[in-house]
Amino acid sequence: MIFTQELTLLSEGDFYALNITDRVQSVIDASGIKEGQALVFYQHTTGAIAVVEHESGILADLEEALEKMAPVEGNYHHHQRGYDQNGAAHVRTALLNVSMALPLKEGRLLLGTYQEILMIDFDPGPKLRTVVVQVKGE
Amino acid sequence: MARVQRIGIWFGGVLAPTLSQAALAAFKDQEQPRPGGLTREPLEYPQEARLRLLALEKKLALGQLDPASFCRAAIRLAGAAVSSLELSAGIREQISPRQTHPALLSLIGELVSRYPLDLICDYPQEWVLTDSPGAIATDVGWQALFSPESVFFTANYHPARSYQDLLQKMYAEGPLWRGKTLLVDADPARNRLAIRMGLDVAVFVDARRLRRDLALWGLVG
Repeated sequence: MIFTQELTLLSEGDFYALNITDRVQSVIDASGIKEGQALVFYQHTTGAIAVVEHESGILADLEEALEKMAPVEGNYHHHQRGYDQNGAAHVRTALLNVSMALPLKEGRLLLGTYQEILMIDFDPGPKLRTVVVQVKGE
Repeated sequence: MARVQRIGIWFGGVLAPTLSQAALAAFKDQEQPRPGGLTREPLEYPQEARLRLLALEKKLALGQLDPASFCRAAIRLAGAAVSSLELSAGIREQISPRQTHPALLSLIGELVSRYPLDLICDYPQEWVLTDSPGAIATDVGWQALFSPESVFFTANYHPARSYQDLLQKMYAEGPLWRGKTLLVDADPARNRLAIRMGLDVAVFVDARRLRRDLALWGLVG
């Protein structure tokens, strides 16, 4: 059985990190699937899904690490098109993951004690973001 | 020994719903089914309007908008058939401790006996205070946990142009002291700003996770 649901999330952008663990679990609960996998998929090109400890210092460290690799104020070929100025967000997305497959047992996500599912939006400014949760199993 | 000496708790999003959430709840949530087999979470409000409501929330918290104007604008966005008075009464109902999870109230009660707690209130005073100046409304009920001198209304830091500006003012004037205060806030954008300013931040998701985080800070057993 496959069960799919979209989460529409309000993001303020600029490394906006939202904990979606409980919302993903709610989709699993609604699916009725007990054993299998949940795929969590970020449906955009300027953000990521991360499974990390949800702690402000870790997020700051991650942002600083990404800033070294893909600085927000950097000069990107992507900007040559003149449509937008979010080259850093695209590069950061490519460096991280837009999806995560997570195991399910007895209807619960098999996350470790400190593991949380975060949606991180790198794009500047507020907007609506979509995360697709697809639960597969029986 | 923990170096944190005070705990600053942001009201909206931690002890109470965010201003937007409170307004949405007061409007009575509606589900909008979508045809085609792909289901969506129940919608509480037209999504684009939620973005605009978020902007109104910010203006209210920063003192750029008065409560009546906030209500009028939110009602227009929702297309709701309620008055500003009805909406503000509905919001007040949402921010009562009766609506707060007992586990969180229990944790706050534990903290208040061990650390000075500051409440950083992004709701307008008139929604939280009674007629007697400085006293937290008995009908709202937070007075048992926070003394009047430990409540800081964000709108009083006017003119703050942005949350960054507000946090800087709170850092300069109190109640946020670098190296001493741990800020508990649910908002990812404000948390990011605060940590960039060098403040210590505990991200709020729920009572269970906050207790775990505070234990890692060495603040609770």
